[in-house]
Amino acid sequence: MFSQSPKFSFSKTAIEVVPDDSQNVIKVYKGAFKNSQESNNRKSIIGNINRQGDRLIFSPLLPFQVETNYTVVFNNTYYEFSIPLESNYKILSVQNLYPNSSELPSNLLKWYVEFSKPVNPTNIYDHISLIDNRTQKKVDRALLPLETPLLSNDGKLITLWVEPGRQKRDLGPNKRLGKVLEIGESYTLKIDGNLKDAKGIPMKSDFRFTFKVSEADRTQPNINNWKFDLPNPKTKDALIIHLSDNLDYGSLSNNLKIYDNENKHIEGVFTIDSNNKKVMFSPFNKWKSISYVLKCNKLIEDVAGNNLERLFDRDIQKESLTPTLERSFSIN
Amino acid sequence: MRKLILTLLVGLFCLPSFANDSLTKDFTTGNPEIGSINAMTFGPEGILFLGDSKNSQIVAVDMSSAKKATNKKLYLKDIESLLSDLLGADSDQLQIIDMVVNPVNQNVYIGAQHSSGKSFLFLVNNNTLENVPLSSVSFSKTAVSNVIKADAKDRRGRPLRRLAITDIQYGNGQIMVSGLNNAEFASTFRSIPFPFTNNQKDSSLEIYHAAHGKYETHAPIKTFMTTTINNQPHIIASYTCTPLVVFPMNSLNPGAHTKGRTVAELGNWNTPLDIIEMTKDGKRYILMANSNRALMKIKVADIEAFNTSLNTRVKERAGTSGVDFINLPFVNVQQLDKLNDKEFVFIQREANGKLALKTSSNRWL
Repeated sequence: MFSQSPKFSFSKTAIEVVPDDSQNVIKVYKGAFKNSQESNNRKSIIGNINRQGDRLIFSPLLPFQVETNYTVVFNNTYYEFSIPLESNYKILSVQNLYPNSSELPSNLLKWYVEFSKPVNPTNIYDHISLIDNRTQKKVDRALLPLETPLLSNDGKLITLWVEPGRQKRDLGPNKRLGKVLEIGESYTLKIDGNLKDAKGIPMKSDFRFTFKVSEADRTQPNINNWKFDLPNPKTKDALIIHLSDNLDYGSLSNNLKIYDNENKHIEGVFTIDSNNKKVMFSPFNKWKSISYVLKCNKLIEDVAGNNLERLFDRDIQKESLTPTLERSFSIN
Repeated sequence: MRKLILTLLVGLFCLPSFANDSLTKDFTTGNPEIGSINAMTFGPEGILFLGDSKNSQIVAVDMSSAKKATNKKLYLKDIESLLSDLLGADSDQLQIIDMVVNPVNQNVYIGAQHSSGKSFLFLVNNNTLENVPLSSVSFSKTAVSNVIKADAKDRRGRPLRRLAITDIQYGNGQIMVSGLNNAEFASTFRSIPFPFTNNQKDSSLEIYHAAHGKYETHAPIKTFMTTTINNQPHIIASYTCTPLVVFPMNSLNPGAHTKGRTVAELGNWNTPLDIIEMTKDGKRYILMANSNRALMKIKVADIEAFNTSLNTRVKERAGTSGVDFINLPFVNVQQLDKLNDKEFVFIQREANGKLALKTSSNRWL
């Protein structure tokens, strides 16, 4: 709690004042105002007012922002205040990007950007751009802006879609503008430093990731090509699965399950390291000298959106094949 | 939002069975624990449905006893600065999520979200915004299961998978929900019977559209409306990648692959934001707000007459194709709903950069 006078103290979530009268009148405004003429046309902040003895406590619906001017009015007096930023505040940064290989296919569909803390979703796509490194210009209509950004519940992981209408063959945008990424060219995914975290503090420095574009990936992922590093029995060592494709980070999550030879689900934790084409599984209980089955959801997809069951944009004149969704392995 | 097109039809279906039995009879009073408001729509009897992505649920709130708002003229000249003043947060930390009209009393509600994820419901009243607390209301709710289990965690044990609810509609005794999944690019369309029950079976429908008859793709629906086409209940849905697609509602069976008929492509880099239906002189029109185009008007009769089959390449026309549409002189419309038989209400980014709430008569139709 910060204190400005014996009659007025404030924190992020409450203001306490000692009014001269018994009327519960307190108004709080966003902005710095010195008198009623200045605050005349402004609406005061919505909040709850409680009286505790001789004190009035105002609790706003939202915590006060840091480094923002506010004005509290009581006893016909105007008091300005601002919550300072903590000196040890950790600034927002990009922690990881999926996929992050130096070469990506021209029909790349998605990126996942992992931030160090919850990010401000409002107009987030305005801060993210794709730069053509040859022209140093922003590629127009490259990433699909959504009014409801695809953020994980903790607010730290955002999914970016490379404009699906352009990446899908034969749709209007694809035919008129072509695909977003040209084979052989190099691009930079840029997140500008003005992007703020959920508390309104900007990232300050830009994030950049540069990559080259390879041929389009129009092959379905096939789990028969995965290689297994098997753990020893009677250990809790990780099973390491080497993936044959550049697979989508999000779609691997929770889409893999391991069962024993009696079809009993083996509990444990999958670690998705799609950037290194690896998935690790650490069981809660020790492995036995038996055979196991890895079961995969057909929705597991590669970075171009081709999943185990179908290609991203399937030619309807071609037959689709029945996918392999299970791999057996024995530990001994 | 939006739309409530099937009210009449639903009324016809539901009246006999619910004549003495209100849809709100199983509602309880309390806190529905709304995590976020991502989409809103009104059903019959003044029931407001809220799509809550954060807590993966649909909440039905009884608003039938809410007071009728009084506005000299339905007009707010700068919603963003008003919200900023009322919530004490910078405009760039706040976002308007949706706008809906209660057809019972024409009250206009706005859903807004703060960057922390906290959502608020406001009533447009006395030409300002009035907070509508949702901590003690008469409600009923149901969970919306994710495409895959919602308990997926990443390597630090955090939940990763999330269904972002993009639209909800009520029609034919069902709540329909469209969403975008942050992990798979797939169709995520749910149909849930209302009133909600404890052991309900919601339908997860796998919907896809074909592009010009050559390639087909499972794609997520972004916004949709319910209407009747050739006297049959239909869904008109728009995708993230521009096609406007029509589905007969009776084809939406659980587990079924439902193919839609593409009736139009709406131009490059454009996604419809809101779709409503208005009537003028006995003719029905669809009005569509778009991310990158002016407000569009489409005659329902044109969609009814457009019988081109899925496997035929649709004729191209000035950057778009399929049924004809007319651009109305309203640009940058972000939210749209029917106010009454003769007016619609909308939120528009004006040339001065401000976001204003206004109304217009149906003379443009």
